[in-house]
Amino acid sequence: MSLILNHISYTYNPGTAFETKALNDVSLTVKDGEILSIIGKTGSGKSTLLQHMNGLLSPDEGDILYNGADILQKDFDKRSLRFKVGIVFQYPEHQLFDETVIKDVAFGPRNMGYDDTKARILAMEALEKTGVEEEVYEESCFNLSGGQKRRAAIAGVLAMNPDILVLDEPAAGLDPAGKRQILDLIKELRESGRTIVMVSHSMEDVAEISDRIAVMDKGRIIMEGAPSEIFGRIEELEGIGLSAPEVIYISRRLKEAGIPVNTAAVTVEEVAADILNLYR
Amino acid sequence: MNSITIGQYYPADSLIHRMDPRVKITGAFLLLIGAFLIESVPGLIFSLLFLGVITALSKVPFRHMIRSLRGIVVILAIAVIFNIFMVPGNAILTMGALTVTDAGLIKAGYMFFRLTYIVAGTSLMTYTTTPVRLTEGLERIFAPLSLIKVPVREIAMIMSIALRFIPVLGEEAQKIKTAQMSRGADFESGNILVRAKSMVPVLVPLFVSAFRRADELSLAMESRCYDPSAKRGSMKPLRFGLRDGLAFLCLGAYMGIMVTIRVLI
Repeated sequence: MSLILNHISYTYNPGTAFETKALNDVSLTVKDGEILSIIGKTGSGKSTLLQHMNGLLSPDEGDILYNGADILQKDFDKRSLRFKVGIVFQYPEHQLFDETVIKDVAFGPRNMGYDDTKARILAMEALEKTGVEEEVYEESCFNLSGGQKRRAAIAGVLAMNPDILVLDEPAAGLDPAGKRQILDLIKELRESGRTIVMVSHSMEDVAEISDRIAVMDKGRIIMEGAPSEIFGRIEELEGIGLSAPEVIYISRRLKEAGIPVNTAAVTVEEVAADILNLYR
Repeated sequence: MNSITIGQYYPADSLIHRMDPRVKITGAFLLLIGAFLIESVPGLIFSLLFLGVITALSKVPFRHMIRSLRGIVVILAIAVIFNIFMVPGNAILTMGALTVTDAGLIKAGYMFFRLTYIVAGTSLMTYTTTPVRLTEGLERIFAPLSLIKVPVREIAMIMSIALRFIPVLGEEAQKIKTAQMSRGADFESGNILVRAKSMVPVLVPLFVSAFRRADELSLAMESRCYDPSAKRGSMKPLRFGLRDGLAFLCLGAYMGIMVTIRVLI
């Protein structure tokens, strides 16, 4: 199980006055069971990249392989790929449409060809996983709170049981509690063996949950590696308009002041434990 | 997305782009009248020459002008076919009940030319003027109507908001469509009823979003003390310059020559 993007390039509106090269020779492999985060400032090509992962966009150049099959072949069934690679777009709650929460979540499974009962069961399982309370299953989508809507919308994709779950800014615009729930959900999903690809602007979130990070700038992937490695290159990140988690700046300052902290630690917990160790 | 934008502005820096929108609106109107004055070969050549010169000045590529004709292909075809077969004259070719006449062919040719001319002329205006400038121009042209209690400013504001939001909602529709496709929605297969039904998952969120945007916009306008009937200034006020005056003279000359040709030939 893997998704391989091999030297892909993509241009919006080719041949017009609005031509923009969104992806430029990008290669990326999504490995089984990992949480891969993609960071980069607005307009660096992250969302365009995500839309290639389930064949919504086809690259002008390059190949995309899913489990060894070339998804750009004419006879490849792209619709079934979308059930395997589930994408949750930015502000997914804006796409809720059905009369009740459960019906909306069952939309994906119904499109997969399941009958109403089976689709309903899959929807209930997904809602349970995302922590949406049972009382609201039969309510209108528009009566839910912001955090509930977001989780219901994620359930809508999760109900299709995708192998790879792709999330574009899953925690954006939520209050701290809502954000916490989403991050915990992502971690739980990884525990249960799912592969996750996440785009985020919050370096703290990325540092906390990622196994691997890819950094994008101007349509290219310019860095790829473990969080400790990527966030060790603060100057380069700042050079392209990004930053590292605040806690990394703290451990840097400590190191400069002559305190031997471990600069490979990237989360608040890790750094805190490290500092405590020094004074034990 | 681009298929929905009626504001088909083609960004470039040209004499025509910089021209006052009022001149361009008047010009498009005069071209429309001019199209119906074309009755002879000299008139045809002159009007073609005129359009050619302003197209060249506007720096809008020729294939863009051709593209604007796609929308009227059907109308064009109907007009031409009817004229070819329906106009009485000397028969050239007979196919069963249908007869092609020489007069019919000539009439169809003129009709084809006139319609193309009108569309090309008005497209040139929309290619070189942003929707905002266009409404501004219309607002100024119709400003005298406010004397007879026509709410010109309000209408202009409604128009500019509507125009402004067409691409926004188009983009939004595309986004929602993409998201539903990711959940396996199928918009392409099935008969017309199935396909209409398949649009529900796109239309419901689109309407919700349109209402949300309208709500936010009205709040934002009110918090800036927007008063629909107040007299407003403009960030880039329209200035009627020497260039625009000369352009008006050119338009006048064009009309004069067209009328002369029509009367004399």
